Amino acid sequence: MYDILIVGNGLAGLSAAITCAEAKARVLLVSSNQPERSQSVMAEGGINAALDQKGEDDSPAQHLADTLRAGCDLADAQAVAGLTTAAPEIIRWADRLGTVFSRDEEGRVDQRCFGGQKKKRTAYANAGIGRQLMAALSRQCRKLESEGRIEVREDLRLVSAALGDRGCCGGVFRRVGGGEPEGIAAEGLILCCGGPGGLFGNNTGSLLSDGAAAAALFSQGAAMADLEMIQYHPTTAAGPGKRLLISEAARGEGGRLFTYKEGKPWYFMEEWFPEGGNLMPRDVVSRSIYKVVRELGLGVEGRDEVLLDISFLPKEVLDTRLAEICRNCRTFLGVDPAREPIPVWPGVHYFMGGFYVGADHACSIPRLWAAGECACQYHGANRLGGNSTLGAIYGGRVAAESALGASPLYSAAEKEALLEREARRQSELAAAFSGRLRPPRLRQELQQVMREGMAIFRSEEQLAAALGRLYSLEEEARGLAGGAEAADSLTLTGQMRLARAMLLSALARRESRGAHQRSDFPARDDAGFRCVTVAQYGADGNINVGFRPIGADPCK
Amino acid sequence: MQVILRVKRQAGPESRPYWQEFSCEAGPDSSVLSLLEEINSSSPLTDAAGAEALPIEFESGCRQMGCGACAMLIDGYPRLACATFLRQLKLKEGVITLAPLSKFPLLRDLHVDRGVLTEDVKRMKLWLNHDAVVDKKELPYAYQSASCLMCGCCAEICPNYQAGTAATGSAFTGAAVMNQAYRAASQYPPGKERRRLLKENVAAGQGHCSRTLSCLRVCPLELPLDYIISRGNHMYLKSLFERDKSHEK
Repeated sequence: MYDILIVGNGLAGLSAAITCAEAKARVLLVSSNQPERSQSVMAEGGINAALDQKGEDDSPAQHLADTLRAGCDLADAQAVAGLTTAAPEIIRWADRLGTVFSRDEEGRVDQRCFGGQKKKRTAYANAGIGRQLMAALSRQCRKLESEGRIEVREDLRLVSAALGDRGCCGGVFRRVGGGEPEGIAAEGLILCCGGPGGLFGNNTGSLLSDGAAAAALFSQGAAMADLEMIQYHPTTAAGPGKRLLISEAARGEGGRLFTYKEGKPWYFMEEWFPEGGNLMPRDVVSRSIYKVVRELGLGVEGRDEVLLDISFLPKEVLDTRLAEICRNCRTFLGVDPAREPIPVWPGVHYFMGGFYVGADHACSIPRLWAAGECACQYHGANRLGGNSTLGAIYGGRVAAESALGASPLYSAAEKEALLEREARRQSELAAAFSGRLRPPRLRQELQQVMREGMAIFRSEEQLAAALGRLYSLEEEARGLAGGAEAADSLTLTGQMRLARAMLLSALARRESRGAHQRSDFPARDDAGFRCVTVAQYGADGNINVGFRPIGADPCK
Repeated sequence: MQVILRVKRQAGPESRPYWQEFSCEAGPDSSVLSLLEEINSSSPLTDAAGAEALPIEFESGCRQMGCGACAMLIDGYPRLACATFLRQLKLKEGVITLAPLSKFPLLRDLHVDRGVLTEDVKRMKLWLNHDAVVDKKELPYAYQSASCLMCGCCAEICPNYQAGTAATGSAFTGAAVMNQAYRAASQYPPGKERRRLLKENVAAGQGHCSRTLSCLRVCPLELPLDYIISRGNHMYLKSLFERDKSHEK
């Protein structure tokens, strides 16, 4: 019996767990793997905070303004103000826990330039901020675990939540490697399960961020917000079966984007945006690259590629502050960035949308909270580089604080009954599969549909076509395999449902804003669409998409 | 080219292991991981003899040498499947041999439980009871130390490492864990706590290292483990003559 059950041990989950433990709550941190494997370790660029130590007169208010502007005024200003105000203290906290940040001459946490921000505000650790933050936070968690203040399970996958008429009372899990669903009771459940990259494939993230847990909760009625807002990172390279992220740090340190025009290098970002140049917000850079290649036909050797040059940077910068980028380019691309430019093209990177939460990170279902990339908070229509790591740590903290002290909703017997009912229901759902079709094949088709439907530019026609193909995949899914693959088959049908909600959300937003660009509605329409897209799955099997005011309470 | 993936399979810790061969099409730049993924996503999934086979269980995550999940024995050596390319392998008669890391408890096929590394970290209490101190000299090594993927390749190759025996207090904890001991120690001011960590590390770590340094040759990130370990030694020797300064900060 726990007060709080946390699912996911990336930055958001660890931050939530530490917060709960310090408040003396009985907390269980559950994941399918060790924290060393979570997608958070892949964060490269840094973490934003207005520390104001560069003599540039920076402040949390400017960090707030930059975040809102980059998010095309779709983020909740009040929630973001909380984030940017807390940011300096979060850096100091991470520093005290032993995060090995890069330092300036005076030994202070160093900061560098990042896209969409004019001040040097991004604290960094060479090009591996995620790994360094995770090393410090996971160490702290292990200490709390050994003191008996956090319980940890690293062998469970969330199948669904146990829901009664008053709200959530725990989760149903399957052990990694198989077994029947089992329930764990708690007064509240905090979801820190990452973004649904697995719906797209060929993205920059980890295979562990498959969107399965989010899809399961969506299928149970949890509302999702702004699902159409998907960040294409402008500089990703064609790695083996994935897009390899070339961190914004490359441009933060001075890297330049170019292509060849009439045989000569053309630095299109610098020409088009004399002030912001290569460091415009990510959505702008991605669209510019798209324009250069698809509209002007200036892709390198006719391919979907432009070039990112960091070869002229001092060797010392390449070997330290950009070390991880150079290593990955050499290993996975066969490109040595010290000698030649890196071929890049935008790739699916981050999901601004997710669980519809309020400023307190509460979901639309009572006793359910969400934080980190799985939640829709802080980033609006486009996320600033360096705000994801910050949003995850801060969000985990806020979610934990609002979950703390929740009084019991159900008696122990009621909880047991709800958990048992849900575990049985999941068991029956999985047992219904008895076909021959293996899930991986169909999943690849789903990913293809989503990549094409939710490309950088969308149109009604393109989205409707994708939706049509998705419906036929959902038909085919009836023939998915049972037995050892039944659980995966069930997961896949949930993923398809969440994918459908994404396409429907993109169809409903008939304007262009940030990461959501409609070729048939190219203008931003504040009167019609400066509001949150909310998708909800109904008991009738239909997905309802509507709009809610920014900052409204998801529970009402 | 056509290659044969020879995979050691085992349904569970108690089951009998067996070898199964899969045939696939690949180029010199294909990674071992991409071959495993291709086999697992085929429908129907059949082995080289055409018989229906169960999906091969293995771990993978970032697919770019950043999470350590996909460590396994590739032609006998511990490596990350995502960063091992066919051009680097001998491919004798077109065969690649895959087996699970042998020093960790097996869960299924190529999937092992590396939790014992974490257990050692907890047993040795390798964390801070104090705000981290920044020693500029140690920073580059502390950074490298925290970059460790905890993939287990160093422990697998080490002639002195036997997983699970460390819990008895008599055996060697391996480079990945020693590396964590170093980082924690480097973030304490000189004094009692730092000395405790270093002593712990001498008892469970460097005291048992026979300096074969095979760990250096298999670390996927090429971390300077020898240097990190010698920094730990250096700190330990110094600590024997230090005054306790932990109260002064």
